[in-house]
Amino acid sequence: MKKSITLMGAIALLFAISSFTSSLVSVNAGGDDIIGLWEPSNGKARVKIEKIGSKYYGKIVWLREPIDPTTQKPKVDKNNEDAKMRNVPLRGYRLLKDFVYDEESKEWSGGTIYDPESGSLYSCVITMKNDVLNIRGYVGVKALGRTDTWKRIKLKKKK
Amino acid sequence: MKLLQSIALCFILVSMTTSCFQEANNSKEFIINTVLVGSGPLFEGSNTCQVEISSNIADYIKENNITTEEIVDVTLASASVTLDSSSSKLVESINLQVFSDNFPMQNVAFANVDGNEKVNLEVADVQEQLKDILFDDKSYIIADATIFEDLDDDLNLNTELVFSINYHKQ
Repeated sequence: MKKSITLMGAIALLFAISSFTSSLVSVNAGGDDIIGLWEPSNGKARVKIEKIGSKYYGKIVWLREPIDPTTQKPKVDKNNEDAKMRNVPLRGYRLLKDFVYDEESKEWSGGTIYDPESGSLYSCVITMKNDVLNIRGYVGVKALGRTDTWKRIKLKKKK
Repeated sequence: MKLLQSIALCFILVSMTTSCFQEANNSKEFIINTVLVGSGPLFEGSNTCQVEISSNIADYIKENNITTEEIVDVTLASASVTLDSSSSKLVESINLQVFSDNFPMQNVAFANVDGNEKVNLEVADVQEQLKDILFDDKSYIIADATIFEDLDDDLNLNTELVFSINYHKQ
């Protein structure tokens, strides 16, 4: 009897551990779906989204027109409000910052999106459907924002 | 009587305002020396080098008899990165950012490497919430290092950050 109780206890413990582990995996899997390479609707750039710590960040890794026609040099963040940061190259620039995934609403929120063409920073919320990101930037009220759709870029594996 | 009440109210408001917006009258340097690692293989373009820091700033201010309430702000005074000779030829630019679990990421310093082994970065004028970031449980320093060509190995950036703790002592 004592042996069977111990066995049942062990099974229950294993079940509890596996349930806990699978719930953890599913939480991470949902949030991590955003990781990858994305292209905004205007096709001007490609943005790589990665996870650092517990938050998600996206940086420009490719520009359709990498050279500034005025300076004939690689484009930089010339509209930054901080004059000392205006030489930071746009290639490599983090546009998306500090997004946290909410399992309940299935959205990445709490972050910001930066528009290098105007130097403006917006609050932002991201949702995903069928490998398309809906990126909604807004000031103050979410309802008064603008949404852009980004498509996932699938890289071909090198043979 | 009403006049007295008004004067008292004004006095209280002025006292509250001055205590909330007190200016720093002292400053101490707080230095973080760390290595930011970009795990190889790395590809041509921008790569992330990072380190998680649990800064000992709380111990440091305690040793120096400063309380958190006395700290007006913390600013990055200078930042430098030392590269080995091969990395100095490989790295084009370094963009340094800091953040923590509870406070947002911000650019704090940038430099084009120009082949130098010791690089002094240009520090941002706009710095916000560095105090909160450094006192948070988990803080991160990130360097987006743009490299000219692919690298099979890790990229190590030996980084020194000098923070200025600005505080008000009666």
